[in-house]
Amino acid sequence: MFHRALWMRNQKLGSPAVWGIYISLFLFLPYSFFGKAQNMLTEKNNPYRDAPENYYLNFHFTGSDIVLFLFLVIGLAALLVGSERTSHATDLTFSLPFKRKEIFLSKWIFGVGHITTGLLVNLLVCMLIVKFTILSEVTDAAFLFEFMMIVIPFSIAIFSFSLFIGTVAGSLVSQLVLSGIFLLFPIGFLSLIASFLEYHGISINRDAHTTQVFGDLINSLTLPIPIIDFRYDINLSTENSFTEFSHIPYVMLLIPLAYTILSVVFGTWLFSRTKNENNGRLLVFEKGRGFFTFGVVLCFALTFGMLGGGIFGDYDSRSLIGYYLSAAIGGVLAYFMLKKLIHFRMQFGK
Amino acid sequence: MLRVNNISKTIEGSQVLDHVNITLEPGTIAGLVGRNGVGKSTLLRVIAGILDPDEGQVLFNDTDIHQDPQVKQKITYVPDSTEILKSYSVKEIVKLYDAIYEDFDVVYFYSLLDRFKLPKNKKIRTYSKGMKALFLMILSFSTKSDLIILDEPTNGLDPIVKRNILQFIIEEVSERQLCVLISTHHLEEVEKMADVLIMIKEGRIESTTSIEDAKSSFRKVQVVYKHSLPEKIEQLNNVNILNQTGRVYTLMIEGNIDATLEKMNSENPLLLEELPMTLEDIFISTLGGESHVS
Repeated sequence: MFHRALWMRNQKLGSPAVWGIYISLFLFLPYSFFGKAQNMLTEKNNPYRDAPENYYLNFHFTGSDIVLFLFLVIGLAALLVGSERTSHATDLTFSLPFKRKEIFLSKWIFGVGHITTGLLVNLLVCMLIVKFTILSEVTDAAFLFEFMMIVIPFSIAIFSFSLFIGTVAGSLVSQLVLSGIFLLFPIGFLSLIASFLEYHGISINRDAHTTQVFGDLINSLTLPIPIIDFRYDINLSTENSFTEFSHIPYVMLLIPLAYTILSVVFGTWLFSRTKNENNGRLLVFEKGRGFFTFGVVLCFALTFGMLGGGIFGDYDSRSLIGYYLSAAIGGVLAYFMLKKLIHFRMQFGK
Repeated sequence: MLRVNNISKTIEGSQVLDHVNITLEPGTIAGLVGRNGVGKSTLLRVIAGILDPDEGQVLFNDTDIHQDPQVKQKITYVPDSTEILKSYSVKEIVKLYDAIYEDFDVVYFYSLLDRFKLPKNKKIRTYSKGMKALFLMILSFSTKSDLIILDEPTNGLDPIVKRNILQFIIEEVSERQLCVLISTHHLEEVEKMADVLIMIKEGRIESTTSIEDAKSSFRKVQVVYKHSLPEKIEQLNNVNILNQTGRVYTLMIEGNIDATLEKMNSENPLLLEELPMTLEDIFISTLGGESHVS
């Protein structure tokens, strides 16, 4: 799995996303931090004449600043697995003298290596910028350490999970789409279930503490959310001073760890049994198609029910008939769409 | 060297390979022929370890290639798609193959590029289709593999390059005692270079014989009778009508040749003469079809 040839092969496949990861992290972390420091310095040196007290020290950072990086992480996984399936390149990779397990693990190590390096280097540079610029008058770099503790395991989990999706998806496009859907699945599915229950008059009110714990759990299970929701706000102006710092509890770090372990274990197992004859199709394995179809039809039905349920009633008295009619339309549409898509082959370069 | 044991493979509910058995020895060039969609490429992809068989094993020097792919250090597969390495430059590919194959011969590789006049400082995507096919073959032979699997290798090559590359394959096999398994559309190539002819029909191996044996067990004749072809002759199991123009029949006799010719003569033909026979005639007679092969 550490074979130089496999590393070279992965480098070739994944290089656009790897470059994207390094460049986006650089732009949205150190470059942006340095820009903020320069702005603050300019403002300090040139206070507003009519209101010099307006010179105040504030700093703001959210995980959503690096949302492009998260897309690129999913893209990297899709380039490493899905692009090969779409371009016939699996014929080369699988004919080489390597075990499939080694091929899959080499892809995982390659991705994790670049993601971790990119984050570590750029966040360390950010810490230096905070320490050695005017930003040090506002904050210290501890919040970046906290961010690092969250962003690294969750990014690795996102990558591992997307790579795992690549072992069941048959093409680049299906891997990207399914990764996106399943990464947001926990919170999305919960909303659909909550809406279903509400339409049937079942209340899901709980006490504040339970709601908080449950919310944290669902947010952490939805891997991109803890990164995007990370917020650090500090304002040291005399009139309006505050510090706001929101992130998930550290115990939730067990979730990305579990995602990563399960994705790697099941991904390796499935990749070793991959059905390359189905490359280019929506799914690689024929056995799971029935279950997959059931899941997609159910989700579409619930979504259409949620969106269209209000048509026949108003906010206070929602119409159950409207809900089921919309759900039926959604389910039937999804079924016929999927029937077409599941046999569609997307392959190029023959 | 290569033993394909009872391989079966079902894809999307249809059985593409049905208990296929092949044995190939070192120093052999084997031509795999069959009509479109009979499972030639699937068989080669199973042998190369790209596809898993539902049943059976592929053994290379008594090692199962699916269980222990490391044995593929001595096997290379050249697919019919020439696009797989298009994003690489020649130098990058040399580095990659040198890292993959322990015995990859860089000097030999460059000498072959010179011999076949392929540019060295370009991306593969700038090559023509024929150049890409040639390049993949050169790459494959430079790994010093003992078994080389070629899927439609001469597609897109011009006649001169094709002749040179076929000559090159024959040289390599005779010098290094390697084994080459070729699936091709061009029967004249198989006829020129192959020692063994493997005919595949509907996922099953129809026959595995040497080219000489294949030819000696068939006879192509042209025959004219006063009226139409006598029923006695038409009903013979080993006689196939290749062509009929009026009362002139072109027939292919498979096995039991002398006795069959005797029967034909006993029906007093106006004309009975042997015709020169090509592999294509055997192909059409054995595997069915009209005027062309696949």
